[in-house]
Amino acid sequence: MTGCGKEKKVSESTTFKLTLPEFLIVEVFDGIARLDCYLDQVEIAVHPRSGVPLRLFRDTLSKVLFPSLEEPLRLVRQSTISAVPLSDSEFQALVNQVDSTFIGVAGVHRFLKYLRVPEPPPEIFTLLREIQDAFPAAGISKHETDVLLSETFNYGEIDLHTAIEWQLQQARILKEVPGEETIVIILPYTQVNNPLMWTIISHEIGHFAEKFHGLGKKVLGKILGCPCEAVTEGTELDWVEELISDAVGTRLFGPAYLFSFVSFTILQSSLGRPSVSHPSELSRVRLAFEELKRTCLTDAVPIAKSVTTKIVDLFEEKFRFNEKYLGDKHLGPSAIHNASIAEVMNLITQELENLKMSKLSTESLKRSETLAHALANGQPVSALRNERTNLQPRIDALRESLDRPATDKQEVAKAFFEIRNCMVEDPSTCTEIINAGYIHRYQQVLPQILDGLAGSSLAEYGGYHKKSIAQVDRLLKVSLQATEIHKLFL
Amino acid sequence: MLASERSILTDIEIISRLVDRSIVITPLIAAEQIGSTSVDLRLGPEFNILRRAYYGHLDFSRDREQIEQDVRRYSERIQVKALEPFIIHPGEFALGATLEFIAVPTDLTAYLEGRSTWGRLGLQVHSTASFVDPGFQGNLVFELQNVGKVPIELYAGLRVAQISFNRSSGSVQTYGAGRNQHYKGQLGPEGSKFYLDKDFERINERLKERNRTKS
Repeated sequence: MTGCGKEKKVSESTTFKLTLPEFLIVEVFDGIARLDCYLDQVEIAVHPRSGVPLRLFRDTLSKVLFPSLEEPLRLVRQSTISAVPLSDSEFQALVNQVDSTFIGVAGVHRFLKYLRVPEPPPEIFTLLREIQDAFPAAGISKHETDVLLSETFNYGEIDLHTAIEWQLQQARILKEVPGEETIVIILPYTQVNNPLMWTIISHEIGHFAEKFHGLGKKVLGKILGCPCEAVTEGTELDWVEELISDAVGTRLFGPAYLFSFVSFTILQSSLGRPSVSHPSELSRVRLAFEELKRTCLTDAVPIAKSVTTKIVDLFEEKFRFNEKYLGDKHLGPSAIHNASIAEVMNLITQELENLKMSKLSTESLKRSETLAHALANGQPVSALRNERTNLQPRIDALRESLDRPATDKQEVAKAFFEIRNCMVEDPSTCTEIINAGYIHRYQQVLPQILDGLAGSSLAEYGGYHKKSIAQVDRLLKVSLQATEIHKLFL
Repeated sequence: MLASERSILTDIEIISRLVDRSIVITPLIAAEQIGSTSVDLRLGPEFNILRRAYYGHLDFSRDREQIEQDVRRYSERIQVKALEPFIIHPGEFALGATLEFIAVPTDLTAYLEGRSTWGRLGLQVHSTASFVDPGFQGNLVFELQNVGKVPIELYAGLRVAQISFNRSSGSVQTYGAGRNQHYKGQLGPEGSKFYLDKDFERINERLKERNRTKS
């Protein structure tokens, strides 16, 4: 229990039940199918050029990447049929093969730069504006931000103004470039049409917010017990800045941010090892989870809570595997400065509160839960009507009164217009739409992959799954489009 | 069937169906969209225009997959931003779609009509496709044409059409359950899928046979 009041039970049918081996397979399978989806986008956008390179990429997917999952899938099927968990060595073999396929996907991704590049979809800018507007006091909501694609299988941000100025200073031809910060967000090619992974844009915008306000130094100063002026540049500061940006993502998107982070990192072989610039993935997932628990955000939304807990459990299980067989150790920030994750999160939250940064509410997450049902029915989720339990009796009473000759017409009209006004829907926010998308993904899309693979080959089912991906992406993008138009009328 | 059973749904009946979710119209932005026997529909932000410079005509004797690709290449999807105009010039034709996703229950039939407000400027929102089958789900497609003399600026969100509902309980075939279901669940202005019609397949086969005989 988290101390957030009485917890609701979640029914068996609504929980996400995949085991770690199954989860790893479906994640990497989904990644290959998404690469295939990107090739479709290229074909539509740049046809008839790029035909020969496209064929090479498609053949690589169907003849190498998809079949590379055959052995891991065989192991999982065997384990399911015999109802015996995988042995340590089988599990190790499975993880090694899935890791290799993931590295293969990232490797092929690097060469996508040799294909013509389609435009980023306009809906990405709708989301970007919502994220920027979440920082009313940070001065970044007015910045026009661009999104570019990258061959690196990673996300990033750059202030072009500062970068160009620095380069020109190095060349000693200029000291100052006119203009101001020019923010560019960088996404991997294959994620540009995946609204679910756009949550990570909030992390990148978070970097600008913390830089504008020197949040990293303020937080690290408090952790180290020194004034922020005394904090020096270096790894610790870089790590704290990353944690602040993760906190921004979690605050804005709630579980969806954690899900996208896990989806992006769980296939990596070193979850517990920090780099010079980033704390370990394990620390970051724990921090996001800590924040969700601390704010009790998911407690009133059973599906969100059960899926979040399950996904974090799978991540921790993968880390324990890495630790046991790959010698991966958790060397995150807390080992350096002995502050607990909860303490770090409290300090970060105080600073974000000072920025008056908006955050996802439990009500929003409840709406996402309802919207996920609509998604499962193939409907866009741009808006939702407030549920009112007494509407149908009021309508029935009104219809009865219309049949009575002596009815007061003014009273009838008044009652009618009151009912009619209740039909108006409220627009969904981008964060509500994306959280709905994740609930749908874990409840419907990923479990279906394993079922579907039981009846056809990996490459064949890859083609089918690609259609499912395209349909969900389209539903989410159409929802983002409609919500933007809807807001014009508020 | 009694005449009253075939009649058009009134405002209170439409509302009742919206409440029990047998009719879905989302997003429903303003209460005023619900009129006495219809609901106003808005223009969505996507349009499909023809790329006339690329192709001459569609060759119906090609393989179905090739025709499908040709149709896709023949048209171009354009998406306008909020408050960005889509300008339709005199004589021009484009496909648009409702902003709203519509679901029609199996006991109702729906009719799409333009609003006279726009018709008076020369804008036609449909030329043939006004009838919506029981059981249909998706965005409705507008066959936009400017038959006036001056260009018309269109914006996503404008109320350009209206939908009304008629009772049709008792029909056996519903959309998606039997014959045509090419556009079930369509999102945005989907182009024509005539090549999926059974009858077209026969014509396609006959054309191929004829071409083989000739050669």
